[in-house]
Amino acid sequence: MTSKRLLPLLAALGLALPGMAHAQELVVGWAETNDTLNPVTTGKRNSGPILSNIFDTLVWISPEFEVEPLLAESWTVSEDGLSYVFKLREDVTFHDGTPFDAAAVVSNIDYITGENTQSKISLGLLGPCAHAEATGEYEVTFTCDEIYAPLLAQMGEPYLGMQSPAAIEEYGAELGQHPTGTGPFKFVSWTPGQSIVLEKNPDYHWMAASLGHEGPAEIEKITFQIVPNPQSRVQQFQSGQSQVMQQTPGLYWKTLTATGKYTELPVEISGLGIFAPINASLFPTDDILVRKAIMYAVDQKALIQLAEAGVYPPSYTPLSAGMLGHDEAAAEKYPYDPEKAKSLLKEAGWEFDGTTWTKDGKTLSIKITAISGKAHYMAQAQAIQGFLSEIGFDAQFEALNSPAWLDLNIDGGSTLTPSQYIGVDPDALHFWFLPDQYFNWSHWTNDELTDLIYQGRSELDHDKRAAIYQKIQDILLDNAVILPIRQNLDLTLAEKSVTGITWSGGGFQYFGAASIAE
Amino acid sequence: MLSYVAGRLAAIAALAFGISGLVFLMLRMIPGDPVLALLGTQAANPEVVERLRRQLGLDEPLAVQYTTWLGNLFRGDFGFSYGQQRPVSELIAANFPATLQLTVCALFLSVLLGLAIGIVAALKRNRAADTLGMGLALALMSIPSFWLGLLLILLFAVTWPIFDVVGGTGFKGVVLPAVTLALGTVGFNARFIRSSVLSAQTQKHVITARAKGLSRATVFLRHVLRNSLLPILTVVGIQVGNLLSGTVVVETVFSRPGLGRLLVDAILSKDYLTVQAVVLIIAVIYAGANFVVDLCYPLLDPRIARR
Repeated sequence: MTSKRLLPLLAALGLALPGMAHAQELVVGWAETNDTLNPVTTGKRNSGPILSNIFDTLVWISPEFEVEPLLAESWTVSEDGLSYVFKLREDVTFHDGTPFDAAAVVSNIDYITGENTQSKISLGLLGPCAHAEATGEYEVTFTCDEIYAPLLAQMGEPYLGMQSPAAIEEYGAELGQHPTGTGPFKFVSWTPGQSIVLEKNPDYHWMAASLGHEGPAEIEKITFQIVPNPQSRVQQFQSGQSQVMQQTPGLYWKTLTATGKYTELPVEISGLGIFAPINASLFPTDDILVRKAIMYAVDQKALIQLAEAGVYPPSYTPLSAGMLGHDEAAAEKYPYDPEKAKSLLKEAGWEFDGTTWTKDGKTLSIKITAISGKAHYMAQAQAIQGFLSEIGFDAQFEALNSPAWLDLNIDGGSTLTPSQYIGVDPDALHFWFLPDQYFNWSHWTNDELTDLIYQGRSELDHDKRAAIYQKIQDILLDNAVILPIRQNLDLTLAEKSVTGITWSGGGFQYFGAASIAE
Repeated sequence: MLSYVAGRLAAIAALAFGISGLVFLMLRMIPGDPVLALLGTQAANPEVVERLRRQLGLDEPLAVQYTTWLGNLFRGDFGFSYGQQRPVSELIAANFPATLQLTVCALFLSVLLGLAIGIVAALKRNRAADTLGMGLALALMSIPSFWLGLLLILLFAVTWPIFDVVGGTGFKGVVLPAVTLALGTVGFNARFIRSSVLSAQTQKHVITARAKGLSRATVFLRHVLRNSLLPILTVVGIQVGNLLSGTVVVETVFSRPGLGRLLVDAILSKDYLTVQAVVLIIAVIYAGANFVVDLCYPLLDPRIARR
C-alpha cells in the first residue's frame, strides 16, 4: 500500500495524522450532529450510543432483550404490578466523585419530571411510573399510576442514564455540555459539529455481567468525529483516519465487507424496523382491497436490492425480529404476487385499460413521500413507486424536508411513506396505532386493536404478552395498514484490530468492553 | 465623507431591521412544527409535545414572540437554540471563525490565481496562452464544488494521505476546502480581470504613456493595473458575501463546522432562533463588506474622494 510506505516519511516531516490512533485510542466516524449530551433533553436517537458510554442505567438490556443488573443489583415488582423496588449497588460513584445512592436516583427522576426541564424521549419512557422515592439509602421505589409492563426494559435505554445530582444542581440549562455519569467513559470535551472526546473512567468496576469484562475499560480515549457526509465518513475510515465507522451506506458495506479486512457489526436497532404506514383515510387506500393490493405488489427483497444494494434483511411483520411478540408465521401473509394484486383491484371495482386503473371516473393515483435529506428513505420510496407503477398505479413521489414531511403525514396528506420507529418494548406500536397519536399515519383505528394495545401494556406475564402482540400484528396485517420493509440496522464497521465492541438492546454501540490489539 | 459614512451605517441598520422581520415571518410560513421537528420520529406523546411547546414559548402569539426576540436582540441576547441546546451566540462564536478562515483563504487564493490567469490572458490576447487560460477558467467555473471536493479528498487524503479527510481548522484541514472553494470562483475572477485589463489598455492615457516613451512594465503597473483593479474590488466585495454564505457545500463535503452548515441544519430542523440570528449576521456582513469596499475606492482612485 502506498499509504503504508508514505506514513513514516510524513511522520518524519512532522505531518503525522492527528486522527491516527495510538495504543488504546479510538477514532469513531460518527454520522450525526448531537443536540445535547443530556440524556433527559435529547430528542435524537443517535445521541443514545454516545450517552450509553458515559451514563449507566439501573438495568442493562442485552441485545436479546434480557434485563440484567447494572446500577441496580436486583429488583422486585409488587403483586399488583404498580410498584418496582430496586436495590442499588453500594460501591458506585459518579465521575465527579458524588456517591451514587437512592437519593441520586430520586434527584434524576425529579429532574426529568421537573416543570422547567425540557424532557423529551426520557419522559415518555417512564410512562405512568414517573414517581420515585428513596425507601432506604440504597433502595428506591417507583410507583405507577397504572400497570406499565414496558417499564423494566425501557429503564435500560440510555435516555434514562443516571446523572450526578451535583451536576444537575450546578449546570442548569447547560447540563448537556457537562455530562457526568457513572459509565465506563468520562466526558472530556465537545466541539459542536466536530467531535466529542471521552476518556476511560479508571474507577469503573460494575459493568453488566453478560459482557464478561471486569474492571475499567481497556480503551483510554474515544474521539467521536462528526462526519455527516457518508462518502467522507467512508474515506476517513478507509484511509485509517478512523478505526470505527457507523451508518455505512449499503453499497459501501457490500464492497468493504467483501475485502474481508474489517469486522462487521450490524447493530440491530429494535422497534418497528423500517416500514411504511398505509393511509386508510385517503382515497384510494381507504379501500382495504387497494391496501392489500399494495401489500402483494411490493417485493421487499427486490426493493432492498434496488434501494440499498441488498445488504439488509427484509421484514414482513410490524415488530422487528427479536422483539417480544415478533411472529415469523405472520411473515407468510403477503408473498410477492402482482397478479393477486391486480385481481384484488378488479374485485374492488377498478378497471384496467392497459395503462391506468379507473373507477367512477377517477384514476388509481397515490402519493408516496420521503424525507429529502435521507438517501435510504428516498431510494426506498422510489423503489415502492416502481413496484406500484409496474401493476398500473399512478404513483407520485415527493421528497420533503423533515418538518414539512412530518406535517403532511400528520395531516394525512400522503398515502405511503417509509419511516422508522425505535423502541425496546412492543408497546412502541401504540405510537402508530392508537387514535390521537401524532404518528397514527395510517389514520386508522379499530376498537379491538385499541383494547389489545392497552392490554399488552398492563400484562406482566411474558407469554400472555407475546400472544397479545401476535394478535395485534395479525390485525395490522389483515387490515393492511402497515407495509413492513426491512430490519433496522446501524451498519458499523471496525478495523480487525479492534475487538469487543458490542451494543445494548435497542442498538446502542458500547465500547466498555472493547480493546485494540497492539 | 462623514455624513456619507453615517448615512451608509444607518442604511445597514434599517436593512437589518427589515430582514429581522422578514426572516421571522418567512420561517413561520414554511410548513412544519418546530416542536415535532425536535423530536423527529421519537416518542412524541401529545403531552410531551405540548409541554415542550409551552417551555419554548412557542404557544405565544407571533407578535409577542417577535417583540420578545427583538427585545433580547437589543440586549445582545440571540436566544437559546432549540436544536442544539446552547446559546445561539455560542454556536455562532464556535462556527464563525471556521467560516471566516475558509473564506479568507479561498478569497486570497481565488484573487491571486484569478489575477495571474487574467493578466496573462490579457497580455497574450488571442494567443495560445489566452485560449488556454480562458478554457481553464471556463472549466473551473463549470466543475461543481461537491464533486471537486470529493475528488481532492480521494487524491490528497486517501490515495496520498497528505491532508485530513475530515477538515478541522488546522493547516492540514483547511487547504483542501479552501482550494475547492477558491477554484469555483477563480474562473470568474480570471475572466473578469482579463476584460478589465483589456479595456484599461485601450484608454487614451495609456496610449499617451506609451507614446511618451514609458516602458511597457511601467505603463502596465502604473496605469493599466491600477485602473483595472477598481472594478475587481467591487466583485471582491460581492464575493465575500457569496463565499461566506455559500460555503455550505464545501463545509458539508469536508465535514467542517461553519456558518453555512449551521444555517442549513437549523433550517432543516426549524431551529427558529438560530436561523434568525445567522441570517441577520450574514446580511450585516454582506452589507458591511460592500461598505468597506466603497471606502476603499478613494485609495485606488483619488478622483472619487474629491467628488
